[in-house]
Amino acid sequence: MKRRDFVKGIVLASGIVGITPFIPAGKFLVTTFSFKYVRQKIANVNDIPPNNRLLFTYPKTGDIEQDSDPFRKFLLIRLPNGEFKAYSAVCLHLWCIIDYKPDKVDIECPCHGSTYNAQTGVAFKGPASKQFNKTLPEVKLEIDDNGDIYANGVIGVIGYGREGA
Amino acid sequence: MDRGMYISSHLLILFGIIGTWLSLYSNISDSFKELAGVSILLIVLGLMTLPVALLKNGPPNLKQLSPTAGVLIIGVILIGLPIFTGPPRVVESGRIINITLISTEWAFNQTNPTIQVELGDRVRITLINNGTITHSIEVVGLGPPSPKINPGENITIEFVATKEGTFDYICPIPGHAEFGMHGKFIVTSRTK
Amino acid sequence: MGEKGHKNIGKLLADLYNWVIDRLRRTVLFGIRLVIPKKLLSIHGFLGMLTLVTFIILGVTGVLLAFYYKPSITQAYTSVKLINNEVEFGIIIRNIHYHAANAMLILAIYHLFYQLFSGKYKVRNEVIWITGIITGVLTFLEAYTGYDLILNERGVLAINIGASLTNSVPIIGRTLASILLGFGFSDIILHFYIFHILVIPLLMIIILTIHLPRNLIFDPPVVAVLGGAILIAAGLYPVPLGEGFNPNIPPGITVPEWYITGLYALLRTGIDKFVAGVLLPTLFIVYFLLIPFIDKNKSMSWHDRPLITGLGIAGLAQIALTTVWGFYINPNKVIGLAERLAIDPIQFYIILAIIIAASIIASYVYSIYIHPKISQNRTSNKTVKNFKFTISERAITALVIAAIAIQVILTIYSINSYANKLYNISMISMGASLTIFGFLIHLARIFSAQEGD
Ligand code: FES
Repeated sequence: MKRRDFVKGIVLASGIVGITPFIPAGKFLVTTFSFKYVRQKIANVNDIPPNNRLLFTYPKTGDIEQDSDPFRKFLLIRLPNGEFKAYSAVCLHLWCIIDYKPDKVDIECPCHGSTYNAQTGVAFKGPASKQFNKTLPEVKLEIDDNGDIYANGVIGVIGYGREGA
Repeated sequence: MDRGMYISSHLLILFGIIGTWLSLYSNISDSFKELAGVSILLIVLGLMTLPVALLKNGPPNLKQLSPTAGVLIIGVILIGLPIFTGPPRVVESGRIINITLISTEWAFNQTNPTIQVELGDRVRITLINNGTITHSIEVVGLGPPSPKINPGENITIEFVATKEGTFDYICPIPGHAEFGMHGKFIVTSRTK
Repeated sequence: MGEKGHKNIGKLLADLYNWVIDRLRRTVLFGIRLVIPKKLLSIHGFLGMLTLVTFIILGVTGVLLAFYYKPSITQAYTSVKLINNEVEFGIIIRNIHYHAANAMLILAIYHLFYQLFSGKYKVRNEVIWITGIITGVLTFLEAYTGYDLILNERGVLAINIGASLTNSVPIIGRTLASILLGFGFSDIILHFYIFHILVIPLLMIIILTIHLPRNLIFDPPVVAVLGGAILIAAGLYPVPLGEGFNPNIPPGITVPEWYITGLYALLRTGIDKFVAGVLLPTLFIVYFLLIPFIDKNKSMSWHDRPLITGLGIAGLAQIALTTVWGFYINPNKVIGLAERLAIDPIQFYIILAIIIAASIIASYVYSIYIHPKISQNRTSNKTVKNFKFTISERAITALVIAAIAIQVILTIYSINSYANKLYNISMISMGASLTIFGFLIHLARIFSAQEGD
């Protein structure tokens, strides 16, 4: 091997080694918000009677601007059988805020009438039901001995965007 | 005359005229009205490049001017004439019809009654929202929709029945008519 | 003394000017040669320059708007409303910004197709062509991120479409979405703001340095008239504010801006979102990128390469058709929203295919059968006369005085109608006055050319 080539090789190797630590720094741009979905108390069992609902902000920051974000709005539902469920309050279609209807035991969107099953969070009527992705993101709930309800993470993607029409 | 510019300025004007006509006068679809901004810009740009195209290498002859005249005449007919003629006038009959509709989910007055009026009648519809979500009222083809009103509020719209035929009255909020908030609105010819 | 003082000052200024110019000669500025034409030219020769002018107008008005705009969920819409309704001249600046954006896109498309039909991408211009296409795509993205910033119903519709398209990209979609959109509305609006005012314009400027030719034709009359056109269009159609986005109130059905409706039409055909919304548009762009390498024909004129010409016409017709079709919503308000928005895919794609086939056939027929005949006729009775405008001095004086008088009237009218809150009329008169200014510069040019003879 010629000396010149050797030097070139060394410079190249050194350059690669020098750049390597910067590659993971690309993560700076990728915002995975798992760290934002911290465990947070949202309500107590006694706050909400059976067959009723509560709109809550999660994760709550205390900043009005951030907390007014529709993507942070969730619906805590106490089904008639006493079971608790919490879904993202953002309709899968065009991002209106959905609401629970106690008389029909389902979740309805005021905008174009998408209707979701309150047990499973799956749309069965309206534009959202015609999409590929028709399940509302769900909040993982934990209830401790005092009856305090905690939110601890979200399953699914909020604000995925509608499909087709 | 400059051939390339001649072609493109005519194309610009033609696209603009079609767009403006679609947005202002066609009844094909409401949402075409959003085309207005860009169509008007196309016409203005086309009209401003036209003199350059025509005069560049000497004045055009009659044969070359005839497409220009054609395009301009199409424009005047499609866009200019409706401005002056306007919709056909209908003499008002002098009657005022008062109608009250109560909106709930998903019907007007529970049954969506058929409404019948005569040509030229002045119609006043009062909408009372007894539902749990926002509603509104529109007689499609006879007037613009009313503003959206919240539960418990009411609103009145007023228009003259200027066209004969069968129309739909609906809640124009997307999805609501689909779920049943629509009824028939019939305009018959005048009896006397 | 007075006479001498004048001379000294004049000499001083001339020296200063020469000194500055001499120093500037060493900078990159003098790499570009600005050519101001001496006579009326076809605007096809400098469409790119006109696009650049609108870009500069957009930059200036954009900076002005940025003084008042606030990229936040709660204040985005209210701050635009403030600009529109309260800030002095806010409505005019906003309308110029909106219509200049439309004009920039129109001119960019015009420029693209002119260069395509006239074969300017050959003769070592491949790099200019490719950077041009990239700048065009960036212009589109710039316009898209811009009109979402108002955060009205229309903007949110577009954000929603953009989010769903980004998410639909296989494998990297989620990562891409988190980079571009972040998390939640407050991030979306902030990211779009940064893209709109910094990232994309910066990229455009960088790429423009590889796109702009060394000789730039700058024609003051046409530029003035372009400004006038933007103002007149703004006066005829002041852009509405729309309704602010409120997730608790149902939006009326809105369609996106005209440069996205083509994409919207494709999406509404109901075929796979990734294919319709990302793959097909990308193929369209890639085709344009590849044109210089597909077209090996040496000839520049469009009738010598019927295939490329036919595809070009097809592209133009497709843009027009999908754009208009995207605006179409079934007017029958009784049926469901999904059905109203649905576009029959078979009908849609068959019509697109017919357009492509028809354009190619038409262009072959023209270039093989019709064109040779026409050009024969043309050469046989070609009477090239050396045409020159000659206007008597008196007529010119009369014209100039009349034009200036009209300008003065328009200006007074414009100021007066602004004071009376008739912004439309104010903008139209401003535009008309600017157009007359352009006409006057042109007149001056003719006059000095006659003088020179
Ligand atoms: S936004 Fe919920 S159905 Fe359209």
